[in-house]
Amino acid sequence: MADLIYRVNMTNLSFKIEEVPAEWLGLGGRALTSTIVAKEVDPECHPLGPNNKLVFAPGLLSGTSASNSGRNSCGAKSPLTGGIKESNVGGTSAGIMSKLGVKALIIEGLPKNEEMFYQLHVTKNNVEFIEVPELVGLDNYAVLDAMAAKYDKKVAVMSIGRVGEMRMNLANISVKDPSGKLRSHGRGGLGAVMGSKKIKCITVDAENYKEVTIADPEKFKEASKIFTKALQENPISGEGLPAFGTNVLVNILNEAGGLPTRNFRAGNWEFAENICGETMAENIKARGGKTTHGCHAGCVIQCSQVYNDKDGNYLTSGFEYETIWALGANFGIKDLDLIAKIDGLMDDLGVDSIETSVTLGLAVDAGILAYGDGEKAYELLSKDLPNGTPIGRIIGSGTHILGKLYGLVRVPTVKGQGIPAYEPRAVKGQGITYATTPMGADHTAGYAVATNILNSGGYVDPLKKEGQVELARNLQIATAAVDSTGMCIFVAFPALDDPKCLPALVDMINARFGCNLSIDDVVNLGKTILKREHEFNIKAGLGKADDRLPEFMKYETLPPHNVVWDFSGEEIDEFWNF
Amino acid sequence: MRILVKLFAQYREGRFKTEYKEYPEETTPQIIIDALHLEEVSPLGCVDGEWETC
Ligand code: SF4
Repeated sequence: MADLIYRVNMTNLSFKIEEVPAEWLGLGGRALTSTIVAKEVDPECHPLGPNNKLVFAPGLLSGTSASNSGRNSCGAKSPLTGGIKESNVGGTSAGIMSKLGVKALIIEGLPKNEEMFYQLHVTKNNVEFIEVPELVGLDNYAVLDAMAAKYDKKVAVMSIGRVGEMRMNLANISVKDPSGKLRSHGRGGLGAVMGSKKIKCITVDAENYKEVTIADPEKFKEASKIFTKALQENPISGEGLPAFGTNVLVNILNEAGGLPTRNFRAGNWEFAENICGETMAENIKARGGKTTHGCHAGCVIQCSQVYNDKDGNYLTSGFEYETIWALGANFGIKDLDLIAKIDGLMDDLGVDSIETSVTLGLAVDAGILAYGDGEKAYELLSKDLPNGTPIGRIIGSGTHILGKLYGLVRVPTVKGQGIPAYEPRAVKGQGITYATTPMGADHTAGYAVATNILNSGGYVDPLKKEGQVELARNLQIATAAVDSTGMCIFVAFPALDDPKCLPALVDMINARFGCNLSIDDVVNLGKTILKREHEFNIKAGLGKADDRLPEFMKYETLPPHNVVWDFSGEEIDEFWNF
Repeated sequence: MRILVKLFAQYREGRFKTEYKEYPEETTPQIIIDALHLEEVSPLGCVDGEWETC
């Protein structure tokens, strides 16, 4: 049976199932969420009002046996950036939705009863609206426990914590992973949109699905083998990421002078060794955690891990470089265990660990916290934030609003979203991505670090301007396409360097759907999606002036290379000439 | 000349994290890599991807 669109209306608590319109048939993941948001959401609407929509769409290859294909996209107008947002995640939801035949789940409207929160339970051809007063005021793990008690243990769960209920910008949508831990649709405040719609959690039935149909199973198997081999043989995806996780980047960025430190005041940190991937791996081995772990079934890279404390008790998993950087070098915590404890807390609360931690870095400049005072930060996040005290709500509004409220100038955001983990003055291709991506400062939108720092896909000198706009453009186009397939972003490394990888990916799409796409078709899809998102943002009021990095980066030199952000507006705007 | 060699990721295994050592003036990164028996090292931050020249 063909995939279908499930459309939920929260205003009258109704749902309908629709055929997939012809023009959406070849779309999945980000291509589909962004197309639906661009077509159906008024760009001028309030992100938390009745006219925003929350859209989930698994990737084109999700639910198949293709390696690393289990990413689910979530899209809406973002309350953080005021523009279009897509955030994709591992976990179990993409595979289960695909196998159930849900091409997209579109949630519109707001309930009339503002007091009540709901659970949406999605089964084959049905969506149940369940009032869940007992879940109100609980955070993610308690919601997972309640769902585990109610359904088959494989049920997919997407939930918000108290911060999402209060519609704060930091709120993410958390998704259960295969080990019963959490991954997140992290950036852009999508949890606040879910909270505005009074949805505490969405569960997707894992008992009655069918395997996805493959038009040409033999061809699929063959292409899938080549693709998996390419992932395993690449030195970054096959060796560095599995052994040390994304946190292998701490030492690399530190040596490159691109590790933002003390709220973007320097590009390296004297305590990097305390928090680096190598230290993390040593701790994990000594304490009985897991150095490799997949955020979804079928991941062969397994960059995730399980990190325990000194007594062998679980602290966190999915312990990513960007979070460790933000709480470490940028906010100053030198103790990796304390960073892990805060990471685990943020999972439970359901907050974007990047936005939250960049906000903490700025809170030092605001005089709210002392640099490196992790204990106080933990208290602020565990008490003030989820209880919605005034200071909790200020932090919960994110970096940009904190900067405004405290009259700060050195505010590291683009389109209102906190800049992650890679200093744009010292990794200039990444800076162009931050400035231009329709998502607000987002490293995953076009990971120029690959070519600026990791020599993947060639080499463009990170400290020079030459070639950066073209690099960021090519990567953003490719990423928009990859985000539509359901693939994890780390397939980019073999895709950039192994000539067999990308053709195998396109062959898998062709074999799955019985179509005949070329690599050019897939690249063109990336271009179309990127332009569609850009147009939405322009209609939402985000213009060229929003495609800029914070001004302080133009006049403050960054040690150790003593570089500034030296792109003119015209040079940045060249990005959109394609 | 005195050179500080820093090793990261899997290259640390059975070796060291950081080490100062005396090397002749004309030493290239490739000579140090060979001396440490590091295989298949990815030359990060090299314009032409060659250890001899970066
Ligand atoms: S490589 Fe990492 S992020 Fe990608 S799918 Fe695997 S565990 Fe998830």
